[in-house]
Amino acid sequence: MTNPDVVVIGGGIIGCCCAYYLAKQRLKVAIVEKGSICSEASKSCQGHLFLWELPAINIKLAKASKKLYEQLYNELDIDFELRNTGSMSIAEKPQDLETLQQTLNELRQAGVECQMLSAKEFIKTEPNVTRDISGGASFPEDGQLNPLLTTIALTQAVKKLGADIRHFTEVTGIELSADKSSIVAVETTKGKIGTKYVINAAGAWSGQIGRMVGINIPVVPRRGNLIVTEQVPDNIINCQIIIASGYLDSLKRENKTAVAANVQQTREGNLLLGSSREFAGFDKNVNPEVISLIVKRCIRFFPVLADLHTIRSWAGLRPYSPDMLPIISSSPIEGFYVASGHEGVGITMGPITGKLITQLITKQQLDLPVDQLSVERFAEKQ
Amino acid sequence: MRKTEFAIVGAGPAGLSAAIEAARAGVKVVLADENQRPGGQLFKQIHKFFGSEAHHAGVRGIDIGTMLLQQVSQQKNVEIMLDSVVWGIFRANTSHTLGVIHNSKNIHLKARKVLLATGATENVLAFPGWTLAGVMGAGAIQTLVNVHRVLPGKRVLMVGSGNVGLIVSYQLLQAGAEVVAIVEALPKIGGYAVHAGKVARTGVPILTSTTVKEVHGKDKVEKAVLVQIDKNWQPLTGTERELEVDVVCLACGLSPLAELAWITGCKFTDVPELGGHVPIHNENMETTVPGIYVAGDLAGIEEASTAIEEGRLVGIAVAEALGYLAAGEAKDKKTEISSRAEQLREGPFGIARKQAKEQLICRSLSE
Amino acid sequence: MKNLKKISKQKQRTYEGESDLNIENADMIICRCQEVTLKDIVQAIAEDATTVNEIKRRTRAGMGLCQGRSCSRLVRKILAEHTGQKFAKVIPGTFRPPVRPIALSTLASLEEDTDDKS
Repeated sequence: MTNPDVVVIGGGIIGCCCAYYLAKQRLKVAIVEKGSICSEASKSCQGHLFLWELPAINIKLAKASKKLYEQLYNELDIDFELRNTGSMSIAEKPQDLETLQQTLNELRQAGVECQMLSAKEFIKTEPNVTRDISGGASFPEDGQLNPLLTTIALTQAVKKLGADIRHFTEVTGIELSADKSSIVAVETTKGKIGTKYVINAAGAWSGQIGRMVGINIPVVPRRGNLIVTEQVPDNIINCQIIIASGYLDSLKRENKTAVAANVQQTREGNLLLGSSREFAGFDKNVNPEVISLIVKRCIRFFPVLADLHTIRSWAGLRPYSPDMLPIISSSPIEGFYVASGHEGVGITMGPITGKLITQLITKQQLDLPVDQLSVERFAEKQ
Repeated sequence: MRKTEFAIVGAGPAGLSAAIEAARAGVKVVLADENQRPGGQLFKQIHKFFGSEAHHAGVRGIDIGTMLLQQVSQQKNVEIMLDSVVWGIFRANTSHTLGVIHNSKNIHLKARKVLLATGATENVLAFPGWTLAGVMGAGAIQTLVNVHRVLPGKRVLMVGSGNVGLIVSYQLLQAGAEVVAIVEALPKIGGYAVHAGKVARTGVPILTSTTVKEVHGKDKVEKAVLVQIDKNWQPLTGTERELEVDVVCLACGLSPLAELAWITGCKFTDVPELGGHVPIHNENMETTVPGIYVAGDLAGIEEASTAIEEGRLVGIAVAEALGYLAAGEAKDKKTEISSRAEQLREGPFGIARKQAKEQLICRSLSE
Repeated sequence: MKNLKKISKQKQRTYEGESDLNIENADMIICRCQEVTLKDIVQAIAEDATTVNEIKRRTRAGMGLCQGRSCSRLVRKILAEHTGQKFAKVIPGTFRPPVRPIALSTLASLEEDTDDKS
């Protein structure tokens, strides 16, 4: 087997998107994945395309990414269930409505389409919501997809473009040139792969990959629990994505354990109930207290959920970066690139991340400036 | 949050026996079972058991169940939670938390030691038509016939000639159904000759090297097509024959019901003689996750009598680990129980299981 | 924007090499809950799925109400047959709580811990 031009470490949404755009530029790509494709955070999420997470740079990335998904939907062979669902946010108490109004002002400045709703308007759209709310907002640009099928669609496409997918292969080291300035090879549990370029798309594990080349990537796992219900009719909720106030607060780093109500319906009809954020190391076990709290809070807003059944719960590890901005970056080592730290918006930002990384490597004009996203912002902490 | 010293999941022969032994030594026990009555599969066993007297030979399973229930009811230290589904198991530092649903309430039960005695699940066989109404597992049919006294149909095709297939065939005959044939994919009958003889004497044909090719029917089973197979399991064209039946009973073996055990993260190994993937366990029946024990069919498909001995072994081991039994006393009891279990694993059917169990314990030493 | 939703509903899943696949009993249901056929599973294997988990992600086999309780063993058999792995070496898919479907109201009914010393 000839050596690939680029080794992508990680077969989640970020790695698969990088591989896809690189392969389209006729680069020979190998994806190296320690498990199977889409077996960590990407398979553990709700598949929400979340277009209103501040700051402005995130919104720009998310919007560009959504456009790319629409293109991918036509380019790829598998229907990955992309839908323009929009999303809605519930304001629980009067002060939540005030906060939401302020958030919407900021969002509008960042170019997000959004609209405040009175309690009455909200209830009219969502008859099953509790009457005990103060109002809400709608975000018509949000969308949803099936992350499992999206990664599968991408891997099939990259295979057709000649890429090599090495699953159940773990990276054990990265060999650098004698002067430690460039990449020579990637060492794996299944042998050494010679290459000039490496993309670290190892999600929650990207810090470990960074250490192999002496680059500080302070990404840590942030656990999320989800609960899935049996398949239910599509009139339980009308907008397929509904998030209660408290969600944006749950993103803040001060919270060691945070729970929010986040109800989403997949195209197949299952409801996915989230969400939570916990710093619990690499432990992927479900937290039984947390899932009860999530469900309790979801029922608080949608009493109709009480009688539905859950069939499964799980936990996944989001790659959390301390400033809640992704890392889409070259590095002081020639050929070593980082695509990580997307926390809860990996699915949302997958395609734009893949595209920007490809543009960095191929030295093309960037779709968006990435200076703010450089890994070097963490360098002084070394 | 409730707390106990020893939580047992499954009140079948293994779970009950563990509860009795542990409680006798003074351990506080909570025994949870999802059914409305304890006893597990024992109350479906209306036939007499084999073996020596020490193993209740000649006694019907149902009576062994009654005896165990009586013994457990004498133990003040045992709380039995029926209608209680253990839906999950979670690690909590050095102990374990069980998620239990009881009376529509979600209860967290924290225990220092946990025995998983969840039993077995029936294997299914897929052939065109297997999803039709009338294709049923032998366990379901046993419950219908022996517990609820309802016949599943009039003309039954039994698939599988292991002990379960043979015994359920006989029980169906006794209950008034017609068993049209017993088919067996292997070239010889799987179960004990005693059981096979009993069924054969009633005139039921046992067709070896034969399998179900497909089942037909509009809304439910009306007809089954059988076909002979060669030694490579390939169907021999031209050997097809049709049988008019309204029930196809699948008795294709059991697998350990290991969902909770997998969730604990304990290590498994595949042992065909014991029904598939079983948790690796040591001579105390403790898995590779400290404090999690297994017994009965979950620890390898065997019989009610071996399940009882394994349960007792766990009861003693837990009592010892919690300081209720001195090492010497525990050792004597364990030796006695182990030797009884050994005796149960003699003879042509037991020897393979005996060797498999020995290998399992050897593996646990290297984990 | 609206169009996308429409297309999405019409567009069917297509698989590589679909027409080449010639297997007996192709339409036999393997996973009853999600109505996944033998053909669906063999196709997933043809696309490099080597584990029960990967087949599940592609086909939904085992994602239904019973969570693979009856089909998991069948899927393992098909995997073994079509990949040349030994049946015993094909491990079941990942198990997660709850091991039985439970009402959301019941899951939510957990009492919050007030006294851990009880």
